[in-house]
Amino acid sequence: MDASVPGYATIAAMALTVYVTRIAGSELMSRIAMTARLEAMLKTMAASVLVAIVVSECARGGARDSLAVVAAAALMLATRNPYAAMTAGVAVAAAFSFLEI
Amino acid sequence: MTLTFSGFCKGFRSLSWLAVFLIPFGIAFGAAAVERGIPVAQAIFMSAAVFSAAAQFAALPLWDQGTVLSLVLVVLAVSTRHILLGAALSPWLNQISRTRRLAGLSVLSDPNFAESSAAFERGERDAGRLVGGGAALWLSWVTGSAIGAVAGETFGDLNRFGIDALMVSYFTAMILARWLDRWQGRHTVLPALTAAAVALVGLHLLPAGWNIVAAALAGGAVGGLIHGR
Repeated sequence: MDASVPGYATIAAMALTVYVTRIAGSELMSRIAMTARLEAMLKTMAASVLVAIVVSECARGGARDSLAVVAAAALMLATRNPYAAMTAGVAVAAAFSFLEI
Repeated sequence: MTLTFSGFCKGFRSLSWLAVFLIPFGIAFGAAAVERGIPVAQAIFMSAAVFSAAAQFAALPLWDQGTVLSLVLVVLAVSTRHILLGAALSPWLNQISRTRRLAGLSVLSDPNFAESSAAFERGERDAGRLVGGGAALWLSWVTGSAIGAVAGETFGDLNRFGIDALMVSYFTAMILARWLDRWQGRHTVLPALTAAAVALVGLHLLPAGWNIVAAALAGGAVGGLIHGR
């Protein structure tokens, strides 16, 4: 099948789907009464998402990604600079690739 | 809460370096899409309209035999995390006008979510930064996709430069940024451990991406329980 057949209409449908997920959380919350506990839950959820992403990536990527995360964490704690952290993580990952571990 | 151009600029600047280094990811998508037989213009349009690496990469293997419905369902499945991100930002975002909110959320993504939520917890009140950060990411994603679609094969495997560790390093930094700004003691440790545990267990038991959703819900639930009334 010619791969251009799905085409622009399909892409538009995909785009609309993703857009709906982007606004759904906020729209849902605007219809629910906010309590202090609910707000605490939402804010904790924010941190939890990032923890989950990082942990999953370490599990999937093994030593290379895990050490990159450790390096990023170390630099962030030492310098409070996210760019230093990113550089450290990328450098460690690149070193692993270079040494073909 | 407000949403101003000044905030937009702050957010744009804040994420501009990350965005530049994310261009290789866009290149990877553009090259992969064209390799699947997708016309260059459609590949670029997809990145501009969908603006989601996860959804776009997930849809690629289905491109030949998939129906519109199956493509939409795959995109929906990998995008459910956005619902959580939007809900997590709602304590702040729902204070601005609905029109601005619905427009600004169009560029919601993990990195600008991470940057904005950390900023809002520090006391920043301009939601423009979410949009500005998203704009930087969008520009880099579309630019990278265009380069990849047109000239992909020339680059080879970009992972040898460690670029694939960029996002996870940034997220690590954002997690710690919260702690450094306002150490909340036991209130953050238990939910974080819960989220980590659920994420790991779910990685093998649940379909791709759903372990993140489950982990976020579990961490949030623990945070709500600890908080008390």
